[in-house]
Amino acid sequence: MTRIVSGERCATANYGSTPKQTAVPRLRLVLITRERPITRLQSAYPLFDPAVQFLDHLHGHYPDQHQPIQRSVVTRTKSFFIFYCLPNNSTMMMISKPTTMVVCLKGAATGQQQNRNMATLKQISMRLKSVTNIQKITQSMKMVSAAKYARAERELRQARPYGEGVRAFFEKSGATEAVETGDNNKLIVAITSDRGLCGAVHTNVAKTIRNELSTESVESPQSKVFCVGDKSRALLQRLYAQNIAVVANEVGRKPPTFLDASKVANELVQLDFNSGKIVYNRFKTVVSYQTEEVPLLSAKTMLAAPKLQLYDSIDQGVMESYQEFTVAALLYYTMKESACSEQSSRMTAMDNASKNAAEMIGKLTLTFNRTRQAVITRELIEIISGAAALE
Amino acid sequence: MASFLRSAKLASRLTQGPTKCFSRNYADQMNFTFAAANQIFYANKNIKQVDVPSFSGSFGILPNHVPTLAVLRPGVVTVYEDEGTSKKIFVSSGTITVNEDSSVQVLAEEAHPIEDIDGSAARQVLQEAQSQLSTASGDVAKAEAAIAVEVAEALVLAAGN
Repeated sequence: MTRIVSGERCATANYGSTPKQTAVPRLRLVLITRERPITRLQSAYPLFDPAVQFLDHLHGHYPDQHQPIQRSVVTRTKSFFIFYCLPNNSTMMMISKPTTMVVCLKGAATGQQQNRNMATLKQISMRLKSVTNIQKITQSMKMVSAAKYARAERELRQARPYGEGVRAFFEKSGATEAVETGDNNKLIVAITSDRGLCGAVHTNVAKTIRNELSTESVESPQSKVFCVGDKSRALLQRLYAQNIAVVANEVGRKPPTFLDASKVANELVQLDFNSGKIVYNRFKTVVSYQTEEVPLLSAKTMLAAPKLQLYDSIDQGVMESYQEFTVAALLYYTMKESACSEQSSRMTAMDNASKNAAEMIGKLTLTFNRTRQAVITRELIEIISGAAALE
Repeated sequence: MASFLRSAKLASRLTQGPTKCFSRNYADQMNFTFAAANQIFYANKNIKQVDVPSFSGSFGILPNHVPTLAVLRPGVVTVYEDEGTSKKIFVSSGTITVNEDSSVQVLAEEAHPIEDIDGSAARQVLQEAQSQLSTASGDVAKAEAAIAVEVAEALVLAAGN
């Protein structure tokens, strides 16, 4: 899975100062784990040792660092991101897990905690303050999403019979599968939103679509993706940018309305597709949701449904209007389900984040008090021993 | 003789007819769902009859109606409930689905009971829509204004009832 990505994509990450211990003076280098950047390579963390070895190995092979490194396998560093800043200021990033987010924290390395002095005390109090602030933010986000969830859930209860009514025709007429034609251009609609910090709701939708797209061969006509919400676009554009047909954003700030769904549906029916599906998160309970799909059929496919002969007085015009309204209604229903899942998931995620922050605050307070005591004790010892020496 | 046979047949048909009709009316169940984006009116309820306005003409649906698909026109949906009461609900647009297992789905974009419609406000909407239609330029704008007029006319009619 190791890939080398060069260029501007990693330009946003900050790379720290020159590490003193490495023997490569021209190579600025930061090792970023998911938690903290390590500027000092001989750290107290044994886990990083393979990475350090790897960097030594790199240094041995590429002493002048002028050529890019094509491929290297590092053991036990699967979740590390390694940034190199080459002398000409271009950046290289090695990702071992392309799906993991880069969390790059500014600030001092925590490896310095060993020498307990005033400076550390200051650092700990700064860190404590920032964690407390983060906790405040996550707590209030939790409260906000709890209120939004209550509303979304109420509205979803209204929208459920609506969605079931729309789906009833598909189930009863057997119009669930697309007719196999020569050009099977499929359309996948990803129902997400613009907002993050809500657990894995968007990732699950993107993952389902990614799995679907990865089974396609490059030669055959490719499926198109309609992204509702910026998050699905952000998650899919790296690998499947050419599949994305339309993106709808400004989703998620306010609860979805039928007007939103009709706007999306209007764009959607203009795309040429034979069959498709909507991938969304179906809300189950406050703590659970499930990523599901509903079929999305074109008028042509609906006219070819196995039991359609039973239905009376259907012509092309009626079917087209019917299909267009059905698409809008389905989108409305799935957007409601998705919005509710998102809010409930955000509530859980923010609750967890607040708990984690509380835990961190507890640990940091302990360290802070210990350090403070150590400083006091040391000062006392200095004074006493100084006084004793004078006697 | 032949005429007697014919009249006998006719008589039998006449006597059979109402009983058939009767059985269609009351013996069967109708799984009726009527929902709009703003409100749910009926969810899998059993009712006697529903009259819907569609683009292919208004029609009534009784249990065991032939399966069909239709598109709702702006107008009033009348639901005859099991208890003998009837309800009139204004719909803007949507779909009607009658399935072979006698389940009926009426899905509207927007629906309100006609008691809630303010007649004077509806007339005002109609006036606005008409002035918009007269000033609209371009095919799309004209079509949109025409739809607005159509909905407003139906709204005024519904409010007048």
